Amino acid sequence: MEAGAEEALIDRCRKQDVEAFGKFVDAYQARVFGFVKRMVNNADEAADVTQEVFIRAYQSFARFDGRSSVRTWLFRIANNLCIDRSRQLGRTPNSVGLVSDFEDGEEMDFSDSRWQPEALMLDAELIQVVESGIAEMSEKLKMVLLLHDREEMSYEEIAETLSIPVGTVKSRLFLARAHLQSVVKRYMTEGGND
Amino acid sequence: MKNENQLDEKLASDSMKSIAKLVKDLPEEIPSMNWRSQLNERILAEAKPKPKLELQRWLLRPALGLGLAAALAVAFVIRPVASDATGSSVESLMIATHQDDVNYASVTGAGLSVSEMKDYSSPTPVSDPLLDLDVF
Repeated sequence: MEAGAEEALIDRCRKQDVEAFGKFVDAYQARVFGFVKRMVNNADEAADVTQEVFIRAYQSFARFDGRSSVRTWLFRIANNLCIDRSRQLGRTPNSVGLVSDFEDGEEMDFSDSRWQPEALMLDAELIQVVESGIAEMSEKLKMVLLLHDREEMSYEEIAETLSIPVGTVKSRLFLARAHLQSVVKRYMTEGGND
Repeated sequence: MKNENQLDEKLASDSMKSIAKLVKDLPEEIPSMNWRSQLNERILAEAKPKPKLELQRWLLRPALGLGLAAALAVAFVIRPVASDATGSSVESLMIATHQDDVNYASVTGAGLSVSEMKDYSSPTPVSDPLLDLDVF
């Protein structure tokens, strides 16, 4: 969507224009649903949470001041609702936490000759491997990875969305990618990419 | 700062970029039409004006305040006079008599109370010897 068109759409959404808000939903529903689904690891739950995200957005659009981008604002709502839902269900943190297999100062070695990232092609099996790797991560790593690598948010935008320092965003992103890298590497070395 | 620069370098490495690309290229899933129609219904329900509710709120706010103030006034300012006229002590009898007098006064007006009233229609003989003039 062009910047001018989006600005006009946002102005109409601020005035609770249902038709304009429908277009806004069209533009963001897949991305928000994808983010929420990966955060909660359950399609039905993700559908409920995503609806709630858009309802909250509709209710509070009049208060959207435009200091951040509408995308940052929307994903902040989504992120907060995912965290709320997780707290309500009393979920325990997933196996891959902030302190991952890679200790401070330890150099990661990806010099294995079978590890050829440029040759990686997403087939159905690899998609499943990557999705599983993401599902294993703690929420904190997952949300940074998804917002940066999937939604292409800048470090600063993510820092603002999650209210954490930029340095923390980078270190979490590094740990998340490193975890995925090890998952993909294991899959490749165990013969998944014959 | 040095650590952050090192982190930037690592994040910019080819292997890390390839992982980022894998994440970026993951397929997108669009929610179902049923999901969308449910959402539309909810948005339309949100969009409906609610004037009655607003009016009720507007009316209820001062009413609630006044009600609360009245309840507090009754509780702390307008205390009923505590009287225990049911016992048989002197104090209780005095209070009971006083209350009776007040009640009579409110009915009959100022003057004698019922307990003070006597029938003077027929003269009675004077029994006081000091007032017996025949003695002198």
